[in-house]
Amino acid sequence: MSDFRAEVREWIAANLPDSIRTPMPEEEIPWGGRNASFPNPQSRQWLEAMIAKGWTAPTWPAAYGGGGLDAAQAMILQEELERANARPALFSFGLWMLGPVLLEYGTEEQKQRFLPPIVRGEIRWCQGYSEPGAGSDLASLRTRAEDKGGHWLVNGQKVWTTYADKADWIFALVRTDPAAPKHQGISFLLIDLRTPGVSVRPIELISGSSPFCETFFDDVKVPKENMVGPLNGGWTIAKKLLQYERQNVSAVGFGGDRSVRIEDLAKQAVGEVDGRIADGALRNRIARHNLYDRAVDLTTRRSQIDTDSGSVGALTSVVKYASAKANQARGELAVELLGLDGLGWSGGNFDPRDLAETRKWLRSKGNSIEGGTSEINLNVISKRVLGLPD
Amino acid sequence: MTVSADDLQMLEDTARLWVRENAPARAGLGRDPALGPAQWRAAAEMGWAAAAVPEEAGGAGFGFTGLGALLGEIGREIADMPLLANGIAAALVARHGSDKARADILPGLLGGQLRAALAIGEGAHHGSALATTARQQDGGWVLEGRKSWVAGGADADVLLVAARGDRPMLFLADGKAVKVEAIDSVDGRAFAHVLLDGVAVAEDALLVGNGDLVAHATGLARIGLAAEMVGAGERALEIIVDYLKTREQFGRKIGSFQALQHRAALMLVDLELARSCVQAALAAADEEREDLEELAILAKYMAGEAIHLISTEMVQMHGGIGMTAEHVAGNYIKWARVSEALLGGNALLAERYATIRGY
Ligand SMILES: Cc1cc2nc3c(=O)[nH]c(=O)nc-3n(C[C@H](O)[C@H](O)[C@H](O)COP(=O)(O)OP(=O)(O)OC[C@H]3O[C@@H](n4cnc5c(N)ncnc54)[C@H](O)[C@@H]3O)c2cc1C
Repeated sequence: MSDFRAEVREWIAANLPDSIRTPMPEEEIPWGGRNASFPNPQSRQWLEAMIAKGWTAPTWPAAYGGGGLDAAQAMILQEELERANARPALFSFGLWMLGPVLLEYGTEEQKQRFLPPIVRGEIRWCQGYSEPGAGSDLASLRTRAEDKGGHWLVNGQKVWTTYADKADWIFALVRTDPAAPKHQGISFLLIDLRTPGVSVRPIELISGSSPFCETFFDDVKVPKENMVGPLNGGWTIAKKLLQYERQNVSAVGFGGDRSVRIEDLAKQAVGEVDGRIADGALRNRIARHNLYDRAVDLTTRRSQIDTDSGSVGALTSVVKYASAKANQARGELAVELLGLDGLGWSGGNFDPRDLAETRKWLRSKGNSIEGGTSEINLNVISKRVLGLPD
Repeated sequence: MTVSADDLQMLEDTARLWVRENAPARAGLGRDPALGPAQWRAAAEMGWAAAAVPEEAGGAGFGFTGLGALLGEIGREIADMPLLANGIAAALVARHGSDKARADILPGLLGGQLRAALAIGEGAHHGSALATTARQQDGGWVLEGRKSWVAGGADADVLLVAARGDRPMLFLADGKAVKVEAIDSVDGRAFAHVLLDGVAVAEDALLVGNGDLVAHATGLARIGLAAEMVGAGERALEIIVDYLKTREQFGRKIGSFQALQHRAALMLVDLELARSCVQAALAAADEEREDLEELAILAKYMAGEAIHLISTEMVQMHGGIGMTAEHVAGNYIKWARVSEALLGGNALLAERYATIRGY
């Protein structure tokens, strides 16, 4: 065993609290932010221990609070965390999406100002990309930012903004040159959601929860220094961020709770013979699903190694497509296996575990839409990876 | 341990050029008339059969990862060369063979003068069932049984035979001591059924190691085959994509139709998933990990899914020309189906996976 692995293993053993070795219920996901809540105090303890090592952002430079690890060390750390069944210390759009592009495109001042609070989970970010008229065709977005000399004046509307009601800041795509071709008039702007003129309205999903919102900007004044990258040069950054998003959102399995194993649901559904799922055809389907799922995990890891060594690329759309497919297949299997018990909505006639499976199944339908739809990812693969013509 | 990323890349690049030059995929029915002992001798001289054998044992020290890279290149051209059998047999003999086997047989396996065959499976769909028996007699063993679809079985000098004594066992047997029955397979590869009709072998023909060596050898063979299959899928997809970029209908390249673009993208998704599994399985073989059998099943299963899809689409996306014996597509789809069935098809692999995982 390498010295580093031994050191990591020892540190985890000493610092990982017991309850953090168990599967994470939805309500205990540590999102951080100004209003961070820790229903389980050991989540905070674990987060603080990880922050002290810089391991919430293992590959970011130590100068910004990161762990300063190289790709190989980061992989060892991840393997050891998995080995110990450690929950992620922090879920964060800042870590997964904004941070990597700030490292690449931000000014030194922006890095020093924004990165450390991300590593420490002090500021929670949300993503202001989609608009009512700009979804897959994101570059047709219309939210305006006008140059008023001392500041940008922002007007417009974003939609499907996940957790805008809980976040502290938003990274937004805004139109800064309406006359230019659509990809060339977009800039990347960081906006404090406490600024006057910003308002958010939660939207209810088919799963009954309301993680995402409409976000309105009404004469919002944003300091000049909050623009990342060059004026009208936001599209390149926007695309790069989407790659990180596809990679990282897949890596955390869309945040889905996998604590219930699909083979156990199958055993309950059709009974066991000698400890095995009694029905051979069903057993085969479950095994095939699990094989696919494991292949997706291995590919996500491969893609992660690419990302950690500084080359996000060809695999991100593959991983986004396939992990959405796997998670959705899991949801369908769960509901099928539970039968009508898996189709309750609420109330005491249902097992809370089954109700949770129902909600997860519904939520998983968004996996092939969020972060670029599956169709768009197939477009990316066929055009950019395979080079097929227009 | 194993090979560095740079060395691996170099190995792969050299092998790609060599296979393309010397054993390219071709159109036409039946066995490739251009393939013979000459290619194998040349490949063996480059040390390919020694890839997975450590340097201390006279090998090249590239590990199974290195052997897998070479098999991928052979798979790209669906070239019928005995590297899989020789490479794995050499690694197993180096690690588990008796002193005598390592002295007498290993050098020939490494140098390619001796051709090996893996006589493990007994039915295309029953990769792990074992009816062949090993019985002790006169300080040695007697092997009785029938092996089917043994790649290179008819030309082999040395056979690695799986048989059941008091437990699953692996033996080395002389190619001249067995009866072979050549098979005219749909893909033109040189398979044979091998009849072990009371074949006597000495005690030192037995391979010795911890755990179930037959399961281990089956795992390695599945991984090697999966590596070839990913190579074949990769090349088949390249050929498809080239055609989509050149063939025109309705005044445009057919590759501009989104229906075809998405289907091509789905092929890449399956291929990359399979590649990840093969890489992980090869690494597990190098690290001698406990979950080797699981990863071998995973690799073979995902490679099977990928190549099934790609080879089917290869015919379809070429239209009429894809159905003709003048096009290479037919040879890829035949090679694919045979490979999918060898060492256990996907239904069997999934069943075995469920067993290992406790459901
Ligand atoms: C759970 C969830 C969370 C989200 N979170 C955020 C967030 O935090 N921030 C944010 O900015 N956005 C977020 N989104 C929005 C998401 O990015 C968009 O919904 C997505 O990009 C699709 O845009 P749209 O909804 O306008 O659909 P449309 O673009 O109108 O697509 C409708 C259908 O047409 C298909 N389609 C469109 N164009 C093509 C094409 N060229 N070829 C083939 N098919 C095509 C699509 O695949 C889709 O099936 C979230 C969405 C979901 C579901």
